[in-house]
Amino acid sequence: MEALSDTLFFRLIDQESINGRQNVDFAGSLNLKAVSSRKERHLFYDTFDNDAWQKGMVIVRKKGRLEILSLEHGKVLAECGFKESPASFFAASIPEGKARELLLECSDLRAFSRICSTEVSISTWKILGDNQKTIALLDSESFRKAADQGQEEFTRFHAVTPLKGYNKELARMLRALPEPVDSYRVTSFREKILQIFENSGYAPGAYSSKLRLQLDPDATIHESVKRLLQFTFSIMAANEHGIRHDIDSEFLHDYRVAIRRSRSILRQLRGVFDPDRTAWLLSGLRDLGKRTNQLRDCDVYLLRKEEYPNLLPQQSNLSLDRFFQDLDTEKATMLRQFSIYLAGTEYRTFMNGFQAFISETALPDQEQAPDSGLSTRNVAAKSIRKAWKKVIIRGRKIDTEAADADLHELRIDCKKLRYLLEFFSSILPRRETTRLVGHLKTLQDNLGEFVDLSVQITFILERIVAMVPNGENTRLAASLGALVAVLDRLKEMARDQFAETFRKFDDQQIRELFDHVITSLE
Amino acid sequence: MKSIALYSIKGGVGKTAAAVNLSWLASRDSSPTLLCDLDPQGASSFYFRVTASDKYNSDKFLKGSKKIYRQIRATDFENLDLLPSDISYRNLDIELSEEKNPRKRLKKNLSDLGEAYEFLFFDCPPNLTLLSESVFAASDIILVPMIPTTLSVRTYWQLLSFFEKNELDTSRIRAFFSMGEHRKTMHREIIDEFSETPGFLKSTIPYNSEIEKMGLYRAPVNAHRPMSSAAQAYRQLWGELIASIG
Repeated sequence: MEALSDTLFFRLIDQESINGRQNVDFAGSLNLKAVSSRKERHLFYDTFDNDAWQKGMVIVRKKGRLEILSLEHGKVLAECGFKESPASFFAASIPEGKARELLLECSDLRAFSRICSTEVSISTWKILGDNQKTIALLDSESFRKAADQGQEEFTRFHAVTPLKGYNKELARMLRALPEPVDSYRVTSFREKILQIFENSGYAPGAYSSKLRLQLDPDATIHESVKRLLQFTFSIMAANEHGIRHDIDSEFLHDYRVAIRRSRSILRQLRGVFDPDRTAWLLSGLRDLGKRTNQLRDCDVYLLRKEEYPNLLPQQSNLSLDRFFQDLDTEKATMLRQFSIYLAGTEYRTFMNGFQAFISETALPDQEQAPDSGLSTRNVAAKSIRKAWKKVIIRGRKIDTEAADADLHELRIDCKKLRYLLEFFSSILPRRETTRLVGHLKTLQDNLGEFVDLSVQITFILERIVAMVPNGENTRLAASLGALVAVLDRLKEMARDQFAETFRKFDDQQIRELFDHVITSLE
Repeated sequence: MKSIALYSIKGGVGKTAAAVNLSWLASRDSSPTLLCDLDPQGASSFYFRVTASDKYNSDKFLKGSKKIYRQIRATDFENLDLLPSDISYRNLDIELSEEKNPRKRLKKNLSDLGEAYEFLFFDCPPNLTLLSESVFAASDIILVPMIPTTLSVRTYWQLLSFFEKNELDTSRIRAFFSMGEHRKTMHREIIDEFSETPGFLKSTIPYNSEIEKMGLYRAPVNAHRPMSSAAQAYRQLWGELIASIG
């Protein structure tokens, strides 16, 4: 055993209390002195996407403080005061400092929600060396579910932390202990956390809105599309709770992307299902999209609460406060309505029907769905080629005189192509597809910026027109007018960039790359 | 980081007791503190039950940086670490004289500690050597304990004139009376005489058996007997010192 620089975690095999030291070999062989015994409640937080976990961090609230721990060794990376125990909070809401910086690096969009809560009984001993000098601390932690007070512990961990400069002495002492197999085994902080999570019914990494289907190129396209729909269905279902409780804007966003992805694939691969049997699904999905359009708009504008006021002329007394207040109110109303809808029979019936549809195993009637039996590989090549062609043809038609709507249409075509590439990515050559998607993304970013600005301008102008003229509204209208002027300038800048961006995309090298990707399927 | 040297030309004036208790008090406010035991007798190290590793010696101390940092040990008290001394330190000033820029050596060797510690205390050996000069250069405050006797006060003036002669900043020197016995007339008179002298702190550490007993229970009197008059006097002294240095 090398000198210890970090805390060492143990689990006792027989799970016996360390108080009965004579029964516990590893503790019985050490010279211990009791320090303290205490009870704490630990609340764990992470985003719905497990951003903290992905970055190797564990966020826990205990004793009125919020601690950010390293998943690797359990050390405190940062901490701050945190009196409340909210169901969720945003990184920006905690006091400025390193803890906030770390959480903002995880996500500035997503809220950190409580994922589980445990009662911990902690007993601490000093491990004494020569001269009765403390060389390490031994913590014994017994975990119970917070809701199940008085219940049996579900796990117990021991942690030995060397004091600075005593790593070698401790390592020497631990080396002299009985073999781990006898009564205890060395474990890790990560395992401890996973045990706590597992016992609370929480599994980090269970949710990801990223599509990562592993398709069989020779399976029927009918089967592959159904697997996609199973994924999108699960994403919709997983986000309902977060939407209803208004935890953050990304629940609705992921929900809507799942809807769009399903519709886009169903509509692009028309011959795969019997159209009579998918019409209700397509129209139901379309309806859900429509029902949430305005709600998403509100989210989009509210996310610009910091950005918009900075676009107004400096030192003017223009203000957008009322604009955002109104949006807040409107959003609350729309959210209430949509939440009622989500809990209602109509929606549940639709989702049950959706679920039944994706559970069917039989191939549809060949006459109604002539493509259903084709191989995934075959359909992928055909559909991607078609979508690509559409993008190129439409893009080439767009010149400086083109209407905003043309750019909007092109953006939709690009999205369709992107959904196909993502759906079939597992059967395409990985490196080339990543590069291809990268080029497509550059074009999409430019178009996205243009269309978003165009939509924002229309939205704001409509609000100005609808205003009843009065003193307060006049000031707001002036502020919104100033904002529109800036947004319009930005929109035109995006339009100016389009020609160059598209020229780079419609390039011989990218075309060759594309051909390479497609011919690999044929 | 504030660095404070407990220093006196004279021995047996309560330097170590002050270094142990003041560093403990400094660390109580969640301020990471390091006590650097420079006395080859290693009394501070003994009080905190810390011994240096067998491989540690004055040679490594003079090499500085990592060689030193690796030797730092945690005491049994949170936020208080100690760099133990070694018997080889008795030759430190001879070895120091062979170094380049010996007076700046200590400051340079400990420069990186500022990131880890808010307070750095030196417990110095009683003499006026090249090592002392190196300590003067590395310290923000030179804190001088004095028994209220003529001989002890004389060493204070000796130190002051040494500073002046060598163009060192005398405003960094602070003095306080230690091992004061109120029943002794001379102690009372001397304490009284210096009560308004600039650089002299008003707090006096009384002669107290609890301080002597520190050798038995091996912990700061403030940790072991916080209600004793000695512990209270150290708290007062620390409060006064910290207020005077901001």
